[in-house]
Amino acid sequence: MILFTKKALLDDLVDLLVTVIIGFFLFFFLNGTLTIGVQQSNAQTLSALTEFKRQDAAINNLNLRMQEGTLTDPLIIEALIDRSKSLGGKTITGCADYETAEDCQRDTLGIYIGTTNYCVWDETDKECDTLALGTSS
Amino acid sequence: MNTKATVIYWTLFVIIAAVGLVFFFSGQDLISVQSKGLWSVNFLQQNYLPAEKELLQIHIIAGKAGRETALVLAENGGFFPLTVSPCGAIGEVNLWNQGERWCFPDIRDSVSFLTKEKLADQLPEVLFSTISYDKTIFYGRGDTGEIKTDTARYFFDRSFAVDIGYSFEEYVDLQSAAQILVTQCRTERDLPSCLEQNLPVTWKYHSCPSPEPIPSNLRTLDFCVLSTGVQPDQFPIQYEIALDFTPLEIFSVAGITAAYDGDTNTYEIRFLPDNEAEEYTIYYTNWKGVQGKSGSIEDIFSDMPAGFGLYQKSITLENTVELNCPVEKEKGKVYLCVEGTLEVVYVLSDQEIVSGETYLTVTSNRDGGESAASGFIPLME
Repeated sequence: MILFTKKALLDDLVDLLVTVIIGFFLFFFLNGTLTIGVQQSNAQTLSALTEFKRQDAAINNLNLRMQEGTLTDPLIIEALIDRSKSLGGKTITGCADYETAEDCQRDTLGIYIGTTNYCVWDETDKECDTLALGTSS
Repeated sequence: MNTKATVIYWTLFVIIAAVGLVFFFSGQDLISVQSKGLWSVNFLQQNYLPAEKELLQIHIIAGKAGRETALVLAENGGFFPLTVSPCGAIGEVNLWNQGERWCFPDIRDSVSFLTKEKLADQLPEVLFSTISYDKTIFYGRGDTGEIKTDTARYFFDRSFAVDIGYSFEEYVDLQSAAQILVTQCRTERDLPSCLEQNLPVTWKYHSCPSPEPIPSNLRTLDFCVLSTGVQPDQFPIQYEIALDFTPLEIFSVAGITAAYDGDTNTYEIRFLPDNEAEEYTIYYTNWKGVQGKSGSIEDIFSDMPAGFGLYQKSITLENTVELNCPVEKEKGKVYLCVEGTLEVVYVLSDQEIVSGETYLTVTSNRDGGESAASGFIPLME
């Protein structure tokens, strides 16, 4: 004959409560850690893809300059790709990639900081030209 | 705690311990989840991008080689460097023609050969089979490149096509302009005037930056021709070519005059010099039938009847090149004088000459051939 004493019932209740509480926290703990892991994975992939996109776009920019005949030194390709930066979703590899006079004149991304070149906006052709320091358009 | 509670109690601890162990052994980031598309991303970064960079490098080097080839060929009149045209050369400038023969360079072959040589120097690891051009596009068929990593191999075509802003087809226009020019001016005695009228504006005698006046005593001339297909400040192409305007037939001698000198009983014969002539021949006769006749000396005198005291005499004169014009001229000598115009002068003395009944003409000779007689003049006192 099973007797449900008051103490036994209380023990069962405590066990139940402890189980529910631990399970509750365990659920959030596991959910949080797994979500963080997945998010980090996503971030790593996105970062790698962004870097790929930047380099690929820089290569495309340089291809354009090569076809225009303004890029003639194959040894500077790596440096130009490394120096390229993104501005509003567009990869800027050199002055010619700036689309507005303001960005051009300011060299917003500082592409040419520390080099012997600078950017000048050509109002006639509506394009950004690269000039060597000490020269003017 | 009853048995049931104990089981649940310890089970929970076992689960927590298991989770803890998983976290502990899975590394620093609690649970390490690898990047999504890791192989794809690695492939793009380690195989595709290096291939794209290599292709860009090939294109830059090939474009540069194409432009350098264009410059080198233009400097040699389209011929391979250090080779001489089969028609010869003036100094270092290759002739495109000689007499009736044209010696145009084979541009397509020269471009291919010269560029392959340059690319073999700068891109020894790439093998190019065909190199040619179409308008301003300079292209080459390359071999297959391979980028190999631990997890992938990427094959790509290392061919190139670059717009070099210049077309080798400009040689076709140049060749046709040269042919027109030679046809127009080869037969003209006054070559400088003819060239001044017909020379295209981009053609300069001897030098592009400082063109010289066309000399009147030369008929093989070297020209510098500015390219019209490229921007001069970006890609200055200057063709160096030479053309031979030597007439296919010898010019007949012009400006023949004869002046009688009563003191010495001689005739001073004058006529315009011809730089191409090796020698001149003076013909004189007492046959009246030559009056109004011109053409081949052989044909003219073939009609002369034999006998009747008729004679035909000739004197051969060396073509003197240096100016030599004393006031007192000796009989039987040739002089080159400048008295207003440049003239060849010869003092003729013959007791058989009868004033008004003797007729004279002069022909020039070159390479065993003789010019036509332009006409006979009477010798008058």
